Amino acid sequence: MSLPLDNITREESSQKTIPAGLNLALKDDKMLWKLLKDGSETAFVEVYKQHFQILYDLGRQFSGDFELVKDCIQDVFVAIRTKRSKLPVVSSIKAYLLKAVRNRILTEIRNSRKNRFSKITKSALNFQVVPSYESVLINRQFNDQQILQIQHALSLLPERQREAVYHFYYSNLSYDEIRDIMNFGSTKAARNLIYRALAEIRKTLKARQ
Amino acid sequence: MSDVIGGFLESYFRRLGIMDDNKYKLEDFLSDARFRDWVLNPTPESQLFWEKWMRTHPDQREMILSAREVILSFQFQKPEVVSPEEKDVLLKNILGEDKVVGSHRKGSNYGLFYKIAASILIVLCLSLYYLHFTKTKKVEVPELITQVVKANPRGQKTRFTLPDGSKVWLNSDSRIEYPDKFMARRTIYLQGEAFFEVAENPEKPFEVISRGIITTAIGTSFNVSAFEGHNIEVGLVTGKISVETETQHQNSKVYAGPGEMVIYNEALNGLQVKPYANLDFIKWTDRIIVFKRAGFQQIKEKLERWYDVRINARNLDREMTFTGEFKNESLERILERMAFVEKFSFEINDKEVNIFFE
Repeated sequence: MSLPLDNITREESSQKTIPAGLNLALKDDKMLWKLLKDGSETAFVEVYKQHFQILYDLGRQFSGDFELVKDCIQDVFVAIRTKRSKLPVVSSIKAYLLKAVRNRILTEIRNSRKNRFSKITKSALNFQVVPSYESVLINRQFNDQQILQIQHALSLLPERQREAVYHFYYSNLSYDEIRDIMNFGSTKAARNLIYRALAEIRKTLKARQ
Repeated sequence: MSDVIGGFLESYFRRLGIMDDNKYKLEDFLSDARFRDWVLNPTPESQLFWEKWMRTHPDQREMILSAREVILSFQFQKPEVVSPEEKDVLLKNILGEDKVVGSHRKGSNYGLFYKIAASILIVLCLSLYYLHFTKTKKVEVPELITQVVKANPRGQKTRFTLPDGSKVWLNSDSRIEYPDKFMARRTIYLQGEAFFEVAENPEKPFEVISRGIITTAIGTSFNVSAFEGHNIEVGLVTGKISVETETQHQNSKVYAGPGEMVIYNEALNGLQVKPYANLDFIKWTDRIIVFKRAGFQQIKEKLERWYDVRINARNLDREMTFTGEFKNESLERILERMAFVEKFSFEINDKEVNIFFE
């Protein structure tokens, strides 16, 4: 994400809003995580603020019970706080937290099936995609029907495949990170699964053209 | 420079494993992390990289544009946004729960040095923060702001919504940059051309900075055309705007109302307000190309940008003044219609167009 050229374009606009020193410290994952491990409250709050929404978004894919999702996120952060000095060194805070929240929610869902009726407030999002009207292209290669076909092809994939695609595009993760989060045997396995999912899109488009 | 990029490209595609086999599939691009980053978060570097890739592999161009469009055509559902208040309550729970448990207190002396170092760093950072925000009373962690970049190659146009709900139509060969959260002002950097429909918010002025010209608006729709080598034109459709130069050494700030357009001439460094007769300048957002008594140079530039081609002319020995409108037409159709009136023949070889005047 931090390509060398980033700084050049950012210079002009963001220096007005954020002091350079703090911004730098809070932007660098390694530094931020280290500060957190060493007991910095500022760093802890920053990690929470930066990642809350993406963790919540993932949780809602698995469950429609948003109290449950929030509880799981809370549990993860409480656990991080209590064992902060013993936390592992991580290369990506986002990937680490996504994995932790994912595990927590899956465990919670398994338990709640046995123990209690969960008060489902909405349905889980289940990694389904919808056509994007945010970024409708004016010069189109595809027409509306083909866009619906792309969506349809993705909706027919098994959930695990949809989840992998979600991590790739929505969470913006690398194949290594997806391997870790979803417990793939190898990076290659993660990559292959996503590759096959995306090949379905091409097949759909080709078949109907 | 180009050698560096060339070598870089080669090693990159060798790593991808698609260098020898010339048959790339759509999914080769879709599943490539760098490609994804370019489509979803373009940087000047990635823009350069893929533009160059398309130029050196014209046969792959259509597929790249298709792959780009596939990625942009779907999105995962976003759940409801958790309000900042709710997030704060949750955070307080987390921080409070820790006090009850209180187990991280028994840290060893080993970490003491780091703790002191960290505290010093934090104090330093906070004082820096104070220096910058003398008006802020509470010490709060500033929210991180990332710049979002959207860029279109030649031949593609996009439409999207900014964080404040304002809508943007971005023309081909154009690029805009804005923060993912707007603070006191809504500042947007533009290269090329875009049409804005600004969501009303009198507290936060909406400003577009393009090649040294600042256009400020509150609840307005307007078009900024700032391609290199041309006058900058800001056409107002509704509302009110002010336009000024960034340097301001000429006391130059002008206001425009509906029906007016502001033109900036770089050579004269002057801003000029004048009424416009029609809304031709925003028709591109409806995929309409408009020529009004257009000379050859103007036609050439517009078509090159729109269709991503190179146009060469032979025997151009007269003034051309072509008038016409084309909605959603292929380049071939447009040239056919022009050729009849303007008396020329033409050939299209992929991205190369040759025009022969009779």
